[in-house]
Amino acid sequence: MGERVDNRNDAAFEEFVQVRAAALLRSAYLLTADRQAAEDLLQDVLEQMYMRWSRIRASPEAYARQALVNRATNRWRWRRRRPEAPLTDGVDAPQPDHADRVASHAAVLGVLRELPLRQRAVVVLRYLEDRPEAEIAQLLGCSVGTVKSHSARGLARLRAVLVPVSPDGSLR
Amino acid sequence: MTTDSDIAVVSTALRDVASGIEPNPELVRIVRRHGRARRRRRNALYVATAAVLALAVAGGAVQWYMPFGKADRGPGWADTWTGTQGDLIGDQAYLNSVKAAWKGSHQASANASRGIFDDLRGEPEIKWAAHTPAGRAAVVTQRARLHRHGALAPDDAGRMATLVGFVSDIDGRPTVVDDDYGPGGTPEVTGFFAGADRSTLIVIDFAESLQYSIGREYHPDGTVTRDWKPLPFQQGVAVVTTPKGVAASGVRVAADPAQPLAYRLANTGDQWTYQDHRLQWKAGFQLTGPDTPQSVEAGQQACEALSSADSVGVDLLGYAGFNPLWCATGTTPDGRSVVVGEKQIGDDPSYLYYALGSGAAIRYGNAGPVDASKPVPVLFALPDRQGFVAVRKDATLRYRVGNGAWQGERRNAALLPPEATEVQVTPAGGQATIVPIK
Repeated sequence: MGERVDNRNDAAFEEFVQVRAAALLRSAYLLTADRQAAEDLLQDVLEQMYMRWSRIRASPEAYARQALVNRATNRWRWRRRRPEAPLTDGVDAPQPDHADRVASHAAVLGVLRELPLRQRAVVVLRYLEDRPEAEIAQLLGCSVGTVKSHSARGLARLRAVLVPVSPDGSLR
Repeated sequence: MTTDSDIAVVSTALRDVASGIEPNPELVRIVRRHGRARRRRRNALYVATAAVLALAVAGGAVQWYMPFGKADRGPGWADTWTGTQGDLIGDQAYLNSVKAAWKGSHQASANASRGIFDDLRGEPEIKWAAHTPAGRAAVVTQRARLHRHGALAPDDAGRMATLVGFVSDIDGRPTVVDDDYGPGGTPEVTGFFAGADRSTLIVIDFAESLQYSIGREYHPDGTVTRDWKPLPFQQGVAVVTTPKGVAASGVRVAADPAQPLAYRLANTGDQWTYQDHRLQWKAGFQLTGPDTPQSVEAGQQACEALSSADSVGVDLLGYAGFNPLWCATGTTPDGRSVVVGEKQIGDDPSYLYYALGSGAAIRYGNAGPVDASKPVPVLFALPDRQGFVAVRKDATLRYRVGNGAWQGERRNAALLPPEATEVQVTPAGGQATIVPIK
């Protein structure tokens, strides 16, 4: 009976990973702004989830997201595993036919790396995942006002590298 | 000024940057292998510590749980929870009124902007319905197909999902007090508060041993903990009445209180309307040396030692932590640096905290709740006879020992010697007040 239960657990866990791993990895990538760190981070979270699956099976997505955010905003937990990669970390090897896009990617990653960790997490949760501010506040253990402040600052920093500015200062 | 266009540009850019990222096809295998190795190590440790009995109990508990339904997204309690239960499950009139309440609730739901009700499938199913101390309550579910829509996370689009509605009697009528669908199509909410005063907590039984906590305890070393009690599950749910005065937003349910993860609860009220109890000083102060106030930024930077300390004034299961709006720094007589600030969690009082020393030798402490009405709102003793911290913005502070002369005049903040017995505070344009130091 115990083995059957383990098999069921395994099947459910595998299903969860197959369905959600890509989205979680993308979030992890922007939370860490580092491909390798993101893979380490996600793998670490999934290993912990695998060990605790019987406890968290009712709400694995919530657990995964909370764990990702917790670890990503506590840099020491993953930073020591691997030194932070240089700006162009091999995600987009430059190709002549999409050099602009690569430059844009590098600029976005560059800005993300410069943001304080919690501000970066707010930006990712708000603008990549479309999470409501109240939910982000819960995830980060801060006030909605703090979320608003972080998201506004992060947005302004990213907008500056993404939206061309006219000589008169207006966005175009 | 932020516009929708700016948000769209940034969102698109972030998705574009992340779009090329795919997980290793071997990820599941790798995780399983490492997870099993971790589990073996953990189990070996348990065995080594003679926790055989605990393991046997856990093994038995695991056999209880129901198999997951094979769906096109992750498992969730709404699909595995075998209904229908509760003492009202045979009351057809009530069940009909619950279904009617569910059908009539969608337009007003906060989730309507995500379009989750646009493509409902089948009929609503009442999983549980019973009398509670807060009156009648029920849980209703319904399948739906989620499509790309406004505020719906893109990853949730194109999936089947189980929607869930939490129903409570309000003014004697069944009312949907909250609903959920959950990222990935899986409801994350596993309990809700019933009753107009949100005094009754109802938690779904998905064969997990869960505990609940109604509030926090603040300790002298700056840590914040919670008292946990097991949830008494019966007939598919646990029903708990919280004491009068307990805010639903502060209640937490968790399987393992040691983990910073609480199950989400519905209908907890507006968690973002907390009253701010902090001192609204917005400046940095110096307890020793020049007494010129610093900027807000400098104050917040100085307070980083407190703000970022996970062990100080932090409830990992808490909503909304508020860091200090001011900070006081200085050097103690024995040469250690001292940082003083406050933190508020949720609707609790704001507490004063200090960090004494630096690096591995740093010592944190809780100096009690802030009372802005006191003549000197911040007045407490540092350990090791390092003196008294006294802070009041825009006031002049002096101290004396016994009946001696007033001395040590400073503005805003002072580190008074341990011999000081009284502090005189004179607010700008106000009368001097003498406050005994205990």
